[in-house]
This record gives sequence, C-alpha cells and structure tokens, in this order.
Amino acid sequence: MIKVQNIIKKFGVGTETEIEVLKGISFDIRAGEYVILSGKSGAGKSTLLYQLSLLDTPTEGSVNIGQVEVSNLSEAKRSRYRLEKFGFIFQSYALNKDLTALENVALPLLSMGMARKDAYEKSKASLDELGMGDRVENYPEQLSGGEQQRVSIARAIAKEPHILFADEPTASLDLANSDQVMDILDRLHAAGMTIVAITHEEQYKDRGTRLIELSDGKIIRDTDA
Amino acid sequence: MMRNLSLGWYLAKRAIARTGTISKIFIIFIMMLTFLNLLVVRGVLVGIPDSSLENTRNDDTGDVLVSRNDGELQIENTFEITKYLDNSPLIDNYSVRYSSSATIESDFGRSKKDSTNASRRTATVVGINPIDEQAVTGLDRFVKEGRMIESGETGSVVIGQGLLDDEATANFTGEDLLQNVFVGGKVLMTINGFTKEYRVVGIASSKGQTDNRAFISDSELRSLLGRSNLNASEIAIRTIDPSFDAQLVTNLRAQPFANKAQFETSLQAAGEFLNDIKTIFDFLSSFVGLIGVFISAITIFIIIFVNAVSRRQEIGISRAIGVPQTAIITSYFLQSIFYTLSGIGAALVVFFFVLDSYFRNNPIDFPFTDVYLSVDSFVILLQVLILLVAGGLAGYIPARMIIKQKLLSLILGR
Repeated sequence: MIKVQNIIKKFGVGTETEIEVLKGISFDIRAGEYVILSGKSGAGKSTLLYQLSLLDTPTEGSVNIGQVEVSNLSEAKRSRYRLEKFGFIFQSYALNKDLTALENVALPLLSMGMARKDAYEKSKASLDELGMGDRVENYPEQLSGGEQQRVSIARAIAKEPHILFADEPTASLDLANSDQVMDILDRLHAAGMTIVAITHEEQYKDRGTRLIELSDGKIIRDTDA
Repeated sequence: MMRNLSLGWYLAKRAIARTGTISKIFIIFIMMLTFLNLLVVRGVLVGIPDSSLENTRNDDTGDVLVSRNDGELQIENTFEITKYLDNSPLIDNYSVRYSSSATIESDFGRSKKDSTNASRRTATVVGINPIDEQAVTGLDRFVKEGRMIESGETGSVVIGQGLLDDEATANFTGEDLLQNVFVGGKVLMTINGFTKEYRVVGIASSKGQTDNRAFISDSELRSLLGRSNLNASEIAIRTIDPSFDAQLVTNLRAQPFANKAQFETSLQAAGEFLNDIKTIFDFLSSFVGLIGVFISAITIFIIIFVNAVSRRQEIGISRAIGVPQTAIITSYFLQSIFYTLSGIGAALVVFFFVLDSYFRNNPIDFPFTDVYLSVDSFVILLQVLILLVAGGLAGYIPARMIIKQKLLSLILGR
C-alpha cells in the first residue's frame, strides 16, 4: 500500500545547522495494518509520519502509494491526495473555533464537493459512532479536550480514508480520555482501516499489529505484534 | 472554483457570525468613518465651487446667458434673439436685462444740489422686467426689506445690501459704502449723465451679484440710456430642464445672429476661475481620500493579519486535512469584503439621511456662497469600488501571507 524507499530528511540544508533527522529509512505498509511508530523524543517518528502522509517532502528517497510516487507531487496534488485518501488526527486537535462539532466534521466532506445535506448526515453518523451525537451543535470551546479529540477523529474518519495517520493522539489527554481514543483506534482497525499512529507511551505500544521503533533517525526494530 | 468560493463563503459566514458583537461594531465603525471621510471631504471641498456654480446658475445667469460681445455696449439685434427664444421648445423663461454704470449718492441732505456730506459710490444698475426676472432667477426672494419694483414703475429702486453701510455688510471691496439708506428713503443716481432722485422701495441681499447691484425698471433705464431699439446688455435664460443648456447654446450658435452676442451655459459664463477651483479641490479631495483609503486598508490588514496569525495552527491543520488553500484565503477575503461593505452601507445611510439633509437645511455659511455637500453618484460609486478593492486586498494579502508559509510550520505553530 505504502512503499518507503531510503528516505533521508535533512533540515537546514546547506547551513551550519544542517541536521539529518531521517537517515535512509525503507519499509512497506500493507493494507489493513495498524502500525505503531515509537521511539524517544527526537528519534524522528513525527518527521517520518509527515513524509508518509505527504505533509512534508523527503530530502532524498521516495514514497509510493500503490504505483504512484507521491513524494514528488505538487502541493496541490498532495493536498488532493490528503483530502481524498488520508485521515489525520493531531496531538493538538485544532478544530475550527467558528464551526460547531458537526460543521468541523463536515468540512473535509464539503471540500470534496459533497452536498451539504449529505455531508451533515455523514458527519452526524460519524459523531454518533464516537459517542458525540448529543454535542453536534457545540463549539470547540464548549467541549473538553477528550471530546474535541473525538470530534477530530470523527473529522478524520467521516470521509472513509484509505489510511488514518495519528500523530500522538493522546499526548494532550488524561489517562481516561487517552484510553478512550486508543479504544476508538482499535475499533476502526477492527473495522478494516489502515492506521499509522505515533505514541511514546509504553502502555499503547502493543495496540497495533506492528511496531516500528526509531532511534536517531533509523529503524531499530520492526516487529509484528 | 465555485466550490472553493462556496466553501470560502461557508467559512466566512460562520467566522463573521462568531465574531463578538463589539468587535464587529468596531470594525464596521472604522470602515464607516473611512468612507464618510471620503464622502464628506470631497462633498465639502467640491461643494464649494459646485454650490457657487449652482448659485450663479440659480441667482444670476440662469441656465444660459446671452451677453454682449467684447467691446460692445449692447447686444445687436436683440429682437431677433428674443424672437428665436419665444419659439424655442427648450425655453421656460428668459429675462432681458439692461445695465449701466451709475453713481449712487445717499445722505445728500434736503437739496439735490447740496451734496457736501453725501456718501457716494459707483455701482452697476440693472434695468429689469420684474415679472420676467422673477421667473428666471426669483429675484424677489432676495428682497429682505421692502418690496420688489413693479413693471414699468418709475422713480423706484431696489438696492443691494452690499452697497450699504450697515451692520450686515462686510466691505470686501474697500469702496465707500452708502450711509443712511433705508426703505422709504431716497438716493440720487447719475446714469448716462442724467441725475435723478429715486425712492428706495426695497433692499436686496444675496451672496451673489445681486448684493452689489441696484435694480430699476427696464423701461426707465432704456429711457435714461436713450436706447429705443430694445438692444439689451444680457439675456438670462431658464431652460425647461437644466440639462438642455448645452443643447440650447449649440442651437443659438447655429443661428444667423450668432456673431451678434456671446452664448454660454452658466458653467461657461462662470468662467475658468471656478472651474479651475473645482479641479483643484477635486484633486485635493482625492488626495485626502486616498490617504483615508490607505489607512482603512492598513486597519483591515492588521485586523485580518492578527486574526490569521492567531489561527496559524488551525489554518495549517485545515490545509493538512485537505481544505483547499483558495477556500481558506477566500474566507478571509470575504470577511474583509463583508466588513468593508457594511461600513460603506452605514456611511451611505449616515451621509444621505443625516449629513446631506442636514446641510441641505443648514448650508455652510461661506462669504461668497452657501455651501451644500456635493453629491455625485458616479464619484460615489467609484469611491465604493476603490474602498472595496482596498478592503478586499487588505483581507487577501495577510491571509495569503499566512497560508503560503510551510505547512509543517503552521501545523506545529513554529
């Protein structure tokens, strides 16, 4: 599904502060896998996730999705790819403050050109699935951190993405909410979704079907659970 | 394109709805003041020459003025011209005027020959048919004391207040002013070598020519000038609609008598001076207005920029999840347009329903004219467009600046 070949990512290229964060990483992700990226702070796991999810471009190497090399696409095409094929959950949920929970979830669907009525119906179903059906009209400021993260998950899954990327989705949450979010990811995977998630929390490392551990920009462990 | 526009409007509408009421009122208030500044500064500056031209048209020249050729004392073949005017469908009324220089004396004592203590000055005396003059310029309305002369009345004069020495007269000319002139009193006038005593039946006051003239009946002045051929000094014409003035002038200039007189619209008759002032004031108001537009554009720019900067991460994540950049920029652009349009709307309401009607009833009291706000629909439309473009750019540029930053920098808030 995703083929990563010899990715190198450098920051500050050509300057005195040039730093190589990813040092030649290669691996494949197969459809239906639940991959946990793990490692200490500064190991390069977020940088790797950004290359996989087309939020950034590698300095060297390539990322292929199916038969298409996507790492060289224009920003407009990458944006389209992200919209149509990927779902994102970020550490900071960053919901649009001006939109209700329902409207936030509907935003990617509207961006894809879906009619508003259909988008709202689908968004409502998605929020219902995550236990947020009674908060659809609430604005982000009226929701707790855990609830906001559930809205951001609903936003990510409502469009039925091929792959769900989660960048430390529990980092801003307390234990109870973190468990709920990880349970949701488990359910999504069980329903057949491919997931790539970062966590540095030990208790969640075994949630995936595969664990890739990084250190100093290299894969030091790649094991199936 | 339409999808992005629609999505941009979707986001903008909700952002506007969620902006605090006080913030909204504040932004709209700033835009309103900016546009009012544009309207009022131009309204007053251009209003000075415009009002002056309008007053000249209403109070003195009529819509079209026929005057004698340079170096001539009278309009040759006046009869041919008035005959044409009588048959022209463009004419509402006209007033044939005779004028001459006169020496006016007041306070001359009991005997006309005892003028030791008299005050005297020269002035233009105009011979009119009061009925025709009333129809063209409404001269009666300037008579502040007494009454207007009647048709064919002899020995009576209406005298302009600007010639008199009283508390209401500001002496700009430096010439002597006539002492002790009052309605019912008498003055001596010397016209064409003939000296005659006139009873003052009225005193006229205006900010135009009327203030410095004396009026007697046309038949009496013609008699004093020994003019039996009816050749006039000028003819003031009122057309059935002011917009026909140029057409009438063109028609008159095409007649066989065209070389016997000068035919001008009131604007042409007012001379280059007022037109030049209008051009200068127009330029000044545009300059001041542009500064206003620039300031308002910066204000909107700062508001949108601060708003966009405070939402960098939100914008970044919107981009990350695939919301098109164009839609996000459009939302900020449309917000800016909304505030600009609201400000413009509020300013137009204040301008037309408050300021314009106020100044219609209470014109600014300038020494040479009463000034009304100049209102030109085309110019206002142009000002609306300029402010909209400035407001739109002030919304578009900061949004674009933010959104074009590196995606990761936005997402991570770096």
